[in-house]
Amino acid sequence: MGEDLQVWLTIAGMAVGTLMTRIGGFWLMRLVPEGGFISRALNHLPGALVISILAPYALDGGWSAPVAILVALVVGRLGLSAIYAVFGACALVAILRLAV
Amino acid sequence: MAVPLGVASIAFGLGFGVLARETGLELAEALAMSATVFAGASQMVAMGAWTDPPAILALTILAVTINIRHVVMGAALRPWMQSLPFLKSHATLAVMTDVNWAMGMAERRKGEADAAIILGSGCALWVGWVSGTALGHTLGAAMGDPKAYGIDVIVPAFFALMLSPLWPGWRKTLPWILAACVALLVQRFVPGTWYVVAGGLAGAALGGWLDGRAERRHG
Repeated sequence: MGEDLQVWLTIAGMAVGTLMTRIGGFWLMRLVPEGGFISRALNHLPGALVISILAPYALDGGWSAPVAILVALVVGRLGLSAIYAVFGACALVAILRLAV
Repeated sequence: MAVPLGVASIAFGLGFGVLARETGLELAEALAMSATVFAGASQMVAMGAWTDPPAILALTILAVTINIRHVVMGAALRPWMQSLPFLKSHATLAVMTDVNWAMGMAERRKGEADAAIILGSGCALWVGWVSGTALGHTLGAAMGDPKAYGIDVIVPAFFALMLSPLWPGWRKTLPWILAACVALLVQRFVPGTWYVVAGGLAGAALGGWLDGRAERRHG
């Protein structure tokens, strides 16, 4: 097999595999009956997922992610736009990195 | 929000473009990967595990393992997606990333009804990701370290913002605590993003069970 072909097949494999993860959950849920426990649990799924993604960032040992999370939470609480919150967090971390 | 997200996505794409060039991918290959895989973390990790020639099956499995969180994220979209025509729901899922998924869920809680918000912001992220890849690959290491601009904390900062619209109230934090604990535990022992799957399902199951119990008591 040519090396070029192997590169393209790898990219294709990653692309198809990743697409399957994106549409797979939606299709799996079609097999599950609606209502009852599943519907109630689905209500809680978004929050539980966000916290699951965020928790390892907050506790990864470095200071930059916790600082960014804190800035975003505070700026978000102040009612300012999400743009200020996210880029404010990045800017503060960048400045602190210069100082450390 | 879609425009700044597109800009942030260019910055991430730059990082991948530089890395792909250093790994030995041609511009066309790096662009094709960003355009079709469109999942930052898995592409970065793939560059770390890239060999010459690459291992097709191993890298495919690696990408699926890192992107396995999409399965539960897509499941969480069911109430929103099932009323849409086939083409629209699948186009939306095809451009679903952590960022526009979280934004969509948060906006839905605030009362947004139109699922086009996920498709639209997903397209903005895609354009940013692909053009960032092209720029990064062309300019190469002359870009400097994206960490110097704080680019690497965009994701945690963004996810922190998504917490408040999803916040269930102090009396319902138990599912969140369980989700965080399970995620941290699984992350230590299992590769990929299975920790997101495990934490999300554990939290959702506990929340669903608690709600069911409360309904039976009051109803």
